[in-house]
Amino acid sequence: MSVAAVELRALRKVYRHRHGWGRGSAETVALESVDLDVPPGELFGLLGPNGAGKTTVVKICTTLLLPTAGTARVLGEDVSQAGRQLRQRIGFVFGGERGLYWRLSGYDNLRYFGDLYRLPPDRARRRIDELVQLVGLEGRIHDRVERYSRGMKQRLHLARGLLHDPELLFLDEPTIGLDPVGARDLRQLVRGLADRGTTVFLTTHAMLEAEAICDRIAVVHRGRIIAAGAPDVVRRQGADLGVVEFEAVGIDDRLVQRLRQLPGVEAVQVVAGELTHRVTVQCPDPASLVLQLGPCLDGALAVGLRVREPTLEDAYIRLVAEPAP
Amino acid sequence: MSVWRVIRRTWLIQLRLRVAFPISYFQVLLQPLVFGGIGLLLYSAGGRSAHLAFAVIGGGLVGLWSVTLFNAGFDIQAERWAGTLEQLMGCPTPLAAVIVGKIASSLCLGLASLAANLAVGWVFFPHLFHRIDAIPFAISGALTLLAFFAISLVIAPLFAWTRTAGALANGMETPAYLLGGFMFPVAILAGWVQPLAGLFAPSWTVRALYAAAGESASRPDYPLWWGLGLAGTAVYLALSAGLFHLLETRARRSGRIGFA
Amino acid sequence: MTGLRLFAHGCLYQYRALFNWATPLGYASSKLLVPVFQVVFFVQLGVFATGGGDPTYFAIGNAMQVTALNGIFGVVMTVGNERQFGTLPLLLASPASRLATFLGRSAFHVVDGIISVVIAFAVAQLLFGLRLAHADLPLLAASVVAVALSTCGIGLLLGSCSLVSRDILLVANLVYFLFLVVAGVNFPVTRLPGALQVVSRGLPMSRGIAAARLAVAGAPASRALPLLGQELLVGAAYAAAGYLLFRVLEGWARRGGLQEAF
Repeated sequence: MSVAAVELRALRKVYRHRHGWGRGSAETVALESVDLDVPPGELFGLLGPNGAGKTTVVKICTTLLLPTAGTARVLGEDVSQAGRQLRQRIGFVFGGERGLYWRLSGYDNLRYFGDLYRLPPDRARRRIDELVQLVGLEGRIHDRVERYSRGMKQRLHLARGLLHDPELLFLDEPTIGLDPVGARDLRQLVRGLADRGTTVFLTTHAMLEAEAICDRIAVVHRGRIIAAGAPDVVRRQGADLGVVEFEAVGIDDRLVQRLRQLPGVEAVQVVAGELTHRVTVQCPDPASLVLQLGPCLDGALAVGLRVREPTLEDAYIRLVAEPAP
Repeated sequence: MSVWRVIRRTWLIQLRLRVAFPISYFQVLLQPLVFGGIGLLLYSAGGRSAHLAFAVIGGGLVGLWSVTLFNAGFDIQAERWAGTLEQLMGCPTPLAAVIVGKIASSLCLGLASLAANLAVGWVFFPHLFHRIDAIPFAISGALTLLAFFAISLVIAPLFAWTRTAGALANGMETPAYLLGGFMFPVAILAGWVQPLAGLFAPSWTVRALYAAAGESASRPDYPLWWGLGLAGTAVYLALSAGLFHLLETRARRSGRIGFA
Repeated sequence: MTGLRLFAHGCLYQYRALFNWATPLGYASSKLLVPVFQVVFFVQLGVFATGGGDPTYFAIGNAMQVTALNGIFGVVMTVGNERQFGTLPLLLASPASRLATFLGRSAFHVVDGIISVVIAFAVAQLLFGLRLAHADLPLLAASVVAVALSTCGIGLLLGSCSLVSRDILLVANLVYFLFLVVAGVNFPVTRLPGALQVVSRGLPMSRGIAAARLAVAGAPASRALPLLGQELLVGAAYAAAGYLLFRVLEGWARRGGLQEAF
C-alpha cells in the first residue's frame, strides 16, 4: 500500500499572543486534536466555518507552521523535521489576491517562482507555456499582474502552485472572492488536475464547492474533525432528519431563539435575502414541526414553506451548529 | 546552481524595479552629493584642503551606506506586505538566497552612488586621483562592499524581527558615518568610541581605502586592516545565518509569517 | 517587489526615524539617536575639516536644524497618514474650522521639535563644551520656538502638496538636506554660491539659526529680534500658502475632481 499523502495524528496548534512588554500573553487554540488521512490521488476537501482551523492545517502541512503537539506527515515526511525536499514535492495556493509580484508580468512571476522551485530554465519555459494554456491566461500573460482581475490572479496563483509539478497540491479557499463564473472555472480546473493524478487538498467554507468536486471531505469545527467521508456519507449523517424551509418577513432574534427551542429541532439557519429571510430548520419530524410553526412565528409572515430531504449543506450546518445554550 | 539562478534573477528584477523608482535616485545621487558638498565646503574652508578626498569619497560612502541600510531593512518587510513572504518561506530555496539577490541589487545602486561622487570629484579635483594607489584602493573598496553586504544580511532579518529592531536600525544611519570614518578619520573620535568603531568592520576597510587615497597619518598596514575587516565580515555573516534560522523557526512557531 | 512602492514610502516613513512611536524604544531611538548623532557627526566633521574650528558653531547649527525632522517629516506624515487611513474625507466633511484643524496638525510637532532641540543642545553642552553662561536664554528660547514654527510652516505646504502627489516625500527629503547645506547650519550662508544664497533666503531656518548664534554669544536682542521676525514671517508665508492650497484642494475634492487624492 502506498504511503498516505497527508496523515495527521492528534495534531494540535496553540497560538500565543504577546500583549506587549509586561502585559502577559494569551493563547488561542486553533487545532484541538486533529486526525486525518488523505490517500494519494484523492481530491480531498476540508470544510469548516471561518476560524475553524482549516488554514492552520494547511500551513502546518506546507511547512509554514510548526505543530504544538501531535504529528503531521506529508508524503511520508514529518513536517516538523522536513525541509526543502518536502517543499519541492508539494505546491500550495492561498486564496486572495496577494502573494504575487504585482509590478511584474504574470510570465515573470512564473519564471521567478520556477527558479525558486529549482526548475531548469528550459523545463521552466515549457512548463510555463503548458500551464498558461491550462489556466487560460494566454494573451495576457505578459501583462503586469496589477492589471489582472481577481480571477486571473487566482488562476496565475494556481499555475504558480503547479509549476514544479507537485505530487500534492494544497489549495486554501481558492475561490474566495471570485465571482460565480470564475469560481466554477477554477473548480473545473482543480477537478481536472485531480483526474490527471495530482493529489489535491482543498479547504473551503462553501459546502456546494466541496460537494461539486471532492472525492472525500472532512468537516473541521473548533479545531476538531467532526465528520469525514465521501460527500454522500457525510450527508447521510443527517439522513434521519428532514428539513423545513421557508421565506419569512419580520423575523428577529427572539423568534429564531424560539424556533431553536421547539422540540426536536437540531439546527436553525437564517440567511438574509433582499426582502425576506430564508429560514432552514432541521428536525426528525418535519410534519409536526410545520404544525407548530404557526403559533411560534407570532405574526411574522412565512411564505413558500416546503419540506425536503437534507443536502450536504444541511448536514454541514447541523454539524457546525452552535449547541443550544 | 539553482540557488545562483535565484540570486541572479532576484538581483536583476530588483535592479529593474529600483531603477524605475524615483526614491532610488534621491538616495543614490542627491544624498551623497549633499554630504560631499558639505564636506567640500568645510574641508576647503580651513587649512585642510589637502584632505578633500574625505569629502569626495566620503559623500559616496554615505550614499552607499544609506542605500544599503534602508533597502536591506525593508527587503523582507516588502515581501511581507506583498504577501509573498509565505511563498518564499514555503519554497525549496532558502529565503536568504532571495535576500542576497536583493542586497546585491542595492549594493549596485550604492556603487552607482559612489561612482557618481567620484566622477564629480574627478572633474573638479583631478589631483586627488593622482595620489591613489590603485591596487590597495580597489581591494579596500571591494572589502568595504563585502562588509556592507554582510551587514545588510544582518539587518534584513533583524528588521523583519520586530519593529523596534527596525527603529533601532534606523537610528544606525548617522552613527555609521561616525564609526566607519566615512568623512574623517576614526582616530579623531574620543577614546572610548574607538573599540566600538573597531567592531564595525567597514571602519577597517574604509581606513585602508583612505590610506590608499593618500589619507593616512601613519604608514598604512593593509594586511592588518583588511584582515580585521574580513574577520568582522565573517562574524556578521555567521550572525546573519543564525538570525535567518531564528526568523524561520520563530515564524513557523508563531504563525505570523504573513503579518506585519 | 510588488511592495516596492509601499516599501519606498514605508522607507520614507521611517526615514529620519521619526515615526516609529509604536514602541517606547522606537520613540527613544528616533528622539535620541538621530538628533544626537547628527550633532556629533557634523561637529566632528566640522572641527576636523576646518582644522580646529569652533565646535559650538557646528553644534548650535545642527541642534537647531534638528527641528526640521519634526517640522517637515512630522507634519507631512500627519497629513499623509490621514490620506492613507482614509480619514481625510471625514475631516473635510466635519464642521470644524479649517484653519484650526489645519494648524492643529502641526501643533504637536512644534512642541516635539522643541524637545528635540533641547536634547541636542544638552548633548552639545555635555560633549562639546557649549557654554550658555553669557547666553541670552530667553532670546535663545525664542529662536528655537521661531524655527520650530517656521519649519512647520513649510511642512504644512508640503503636507498639502502630499494630498495630490505621493512623491512629495521626495521633496521633503530634498528640503531637509537642503537645510543642511543652505541654512547656515555648518557654514555661513555667505560662503555659498550666489544662487544657493537666494534659495537660502527663500527658506526658513537660516535667520533663526543666526539669531540663536547671537543669543548664545550674548549679543544684544536688538540685533536678533529682526531676524526672528523675518523667520516667523517666512514660516507664516509658507503656512499660508499651504492653507490656501489645502482650501483649493478641498474645493476640488468637493466637486469630485480629486477622488484620486482623498
